[in-house]
Amino acid sequence: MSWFSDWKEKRAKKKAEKAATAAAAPAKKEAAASSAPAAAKGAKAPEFIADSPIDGYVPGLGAPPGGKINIAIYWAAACGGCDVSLLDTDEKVLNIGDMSNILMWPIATDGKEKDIEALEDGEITVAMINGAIRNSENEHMARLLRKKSQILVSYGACACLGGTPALANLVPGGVNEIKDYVYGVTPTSANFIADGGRKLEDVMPRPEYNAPEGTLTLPVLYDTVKTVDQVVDVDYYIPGCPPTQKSIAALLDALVGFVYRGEALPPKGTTVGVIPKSLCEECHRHKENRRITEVFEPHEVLNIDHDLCLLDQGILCLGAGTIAGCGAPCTKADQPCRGCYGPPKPVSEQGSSIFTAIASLFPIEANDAKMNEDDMDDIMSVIKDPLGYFYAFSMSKSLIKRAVNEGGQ
Amino acid sequence: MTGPVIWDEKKKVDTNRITIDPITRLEGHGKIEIFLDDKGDVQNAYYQTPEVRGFERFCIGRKVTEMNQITARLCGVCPGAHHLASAKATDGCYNTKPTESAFRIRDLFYNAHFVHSHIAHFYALASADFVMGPAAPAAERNVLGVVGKVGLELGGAVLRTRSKAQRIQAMIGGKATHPVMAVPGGVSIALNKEDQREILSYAEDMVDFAKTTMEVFKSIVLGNKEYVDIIANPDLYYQESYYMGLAGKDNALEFHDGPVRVVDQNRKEKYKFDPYDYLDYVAEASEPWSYQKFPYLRKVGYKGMQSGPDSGLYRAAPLARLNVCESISTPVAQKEFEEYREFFKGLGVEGSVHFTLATHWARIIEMIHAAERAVENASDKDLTNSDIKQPDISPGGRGVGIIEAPRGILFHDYTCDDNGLVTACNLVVGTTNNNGPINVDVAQVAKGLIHNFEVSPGLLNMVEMAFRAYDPCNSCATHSLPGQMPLTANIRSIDGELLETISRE
Ligand code: SF4
Ligand code: SF4
Ligand code: SF4
Ligand SMILES: [Fe+2]
Repeated sequence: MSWFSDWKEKRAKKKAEKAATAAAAPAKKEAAASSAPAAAKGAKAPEFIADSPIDGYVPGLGAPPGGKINIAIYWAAACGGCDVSLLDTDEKVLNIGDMSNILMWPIATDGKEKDIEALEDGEITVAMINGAIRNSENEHMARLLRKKSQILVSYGACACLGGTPALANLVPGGVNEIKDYVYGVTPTSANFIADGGRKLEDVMPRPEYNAPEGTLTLPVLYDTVKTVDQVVDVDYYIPGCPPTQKSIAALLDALVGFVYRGEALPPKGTTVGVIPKSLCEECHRHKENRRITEVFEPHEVLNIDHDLCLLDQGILCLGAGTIAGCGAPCTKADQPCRGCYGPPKPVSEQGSSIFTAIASLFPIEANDAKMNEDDMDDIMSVIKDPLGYFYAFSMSKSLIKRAVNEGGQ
Repeated sequence: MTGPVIWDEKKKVDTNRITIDPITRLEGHGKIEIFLDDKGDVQNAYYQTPEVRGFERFCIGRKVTEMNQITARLCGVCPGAHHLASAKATDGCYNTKPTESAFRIRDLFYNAHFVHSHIAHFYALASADFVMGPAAPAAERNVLGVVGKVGLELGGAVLRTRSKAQRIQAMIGGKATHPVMAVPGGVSIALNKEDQREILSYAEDMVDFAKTTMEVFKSIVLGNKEYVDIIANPDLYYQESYYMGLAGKDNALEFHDGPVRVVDQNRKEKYKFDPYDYLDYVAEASEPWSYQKFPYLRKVGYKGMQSGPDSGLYRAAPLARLNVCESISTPVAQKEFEEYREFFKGLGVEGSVHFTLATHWARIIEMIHAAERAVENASDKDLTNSDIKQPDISPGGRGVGIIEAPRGILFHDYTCDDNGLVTACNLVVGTTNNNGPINVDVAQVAKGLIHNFEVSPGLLNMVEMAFRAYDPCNSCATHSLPGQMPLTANIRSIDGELLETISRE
């Protein structure tokens, strides 16, 4: 049971090994591939031991030849689903333990900020951050982990694109409007205030409050939900809400190859676990590219054809504007893709790439590229909430700006 | 196998204020502030939650059919609960109900979800406190420490069974985390015979495993007199609150559908109401020092952080559900339920069970029931029916969906216009129900265990155990995970200066 064990006691010993690992690890340094630990080169892939009491766990993996790497996993403004997705690797999660000292992983183990602070810069080999940046605390931890880590992975839709919480960026009045609604307008809260003859400002949560026994503090919330790479430099991205096992396997394989066999890591900036084409090419459905004359909600089509493209059946599937790699579990369940893997090219706006893909299917005459505003309005009125639907996961990356006064500036 | 470490050495502190914070900053994912008086006894304690995400507000303007996707992102630990509560509320906005076949599929999904969630809680979070002992070194107080002690074989079974429960959800929902199957009036896709066979075999394994878990619990916890004394100590983990839960037929244990029942301190029925009337019975207080609200019984009234007949605070989740229900519809769980009631009768309890730590026992009884229900659903000859959607439905109006999340009763309440766009949204989530009671317990345990400035990491952990029993899903309530809350106590002078840090290492 060595994985959460006393890494601190071993730190002195590890310092020596560290030199080798550090030289080899960062993909940021151009020569990462060639400077991999010599001992790891040609190391045999571990054999699967069939009678292990835990299927799929590879007990023979043991400690890596170049010494264990240090890993930190952190949630910022997250739902926890990204951490669960790592636990869902089931037995493979134990191999993460063989390969690494887990210095921080709030779902499974202790590991405190001060421990991370005590590390030398670069002492963490890989840090994975899931969740968006929503308050001062999230930003502080992202900066700290960046400083202490050689490789920083932005993990999941919230970290990479803002995710569902970034829909808050559509609220014009920002955090104050949100708080007024939550504590003053929702009926259970409005009744509390009315029944007791209270005033909203007296019961409104605030960053600093003087209780009879002393001062109590809460963090300051930001008006805008940001992605991880909007506050720190990111080395790798893995998309998805949460990333599917297929994509996580790609990430873990790359790490195992690097740690055990000295294989090169992908170039900095790579999105791991995707296939650089649109989801349509991974989806099992065949396309007829019929023009859409009527849009249906999935529940309105009583007998969905399981093998025909959903767009061809009038259901607004976002697969054409989404990068492949998830394995298309949603369209397999007869539901449209909502785009959680993000746009096919990282630089593009997801909403507009989806819009272009879908708009071309509407029976609007002339060249689609020169659609006029009325035509656009027609399409939008069918789609009802185009912003919320096309940017369901990527509002933080959208150029659409909200008229909100960030931090009084 | 050495015994668990229950008590450790006390240490004298020289300050009036103790902060238990997962990360030493005063920001983050939930923290406890303990204030001492000049005799070194506990004056008061606060459990604060530091985040609000505002789903209620940013859901306005969204398509109501999107709600079961958006609100699932409240929590990746219990997305299935939000997905289905949302599905029920959306059914209401369409003035419909799921077809019988669709309801069965949702129900099967949901029972698998309960098994997965309760396994994760018991083994990953709670069991370490009992198996390793509350004062065991931090590095061992985790699921791996537990596996090391109880054996790799059980560890493997934990992983495998949780994985089977996840697999059932993925087969029905497309994905286990953030499932996609719910549509107004039904589900997106039917199951076939092959699916059914596979699911049934997983469900049967889940029942076996749940029974094993009960044996583990009985031998480790009930078999240890010191633990039984702690559980049954009325000065520690004990609170005379009201209890709320769904009521099935003849007030049987129910997770998915039915009226809401509230019982009082003596386990007498206080209210039984239709989900659409919940606003008459439930209101939510807020306090300036926490972003999380404090639900209470509206007609009794809000009295702050105290429990009793005159205070509207009520509890939810396993302990509450087993106080609210009169029976369990499946045989093995019913037998265990009778044993549970007998045990507390033996301690002189006639009314509601108020011992907070009994929650762990109640949770395993529920795990057995959910697994047995999953077998019932999976054996149903109609499971593979294809009428899974309601024809000719249209949006417009209000819908209230109330179900039992693993961590407590969950309310979704939406109104949408004729275009199907949301115009109002209210959410009262599982963990939030217990926010007030968690504060009450934390303060009481701190008062019972810290005297004369004497405090130790083990004692602090026992304070923490008070709320870990609730399995507080701060993802739901705020955004953080119900993980092992790292135990660092910052000992501060009254002006906030850091004098000393105690941690378990
Ligand atoms: S990306 Fe999805 S699963 Fe991950 S934290 Fe965000 S909402 Fe949760
Ligand atoms: S649009 Fe959707 S359903 Fe059609 S091929 Fe693409 S991913 Fe599949
Ligand atoms: S199909 Fe679309 S929404 Fe579903 S997992 Fe893949 S990218 Fe995400
Ligand atoms: Fe939750």
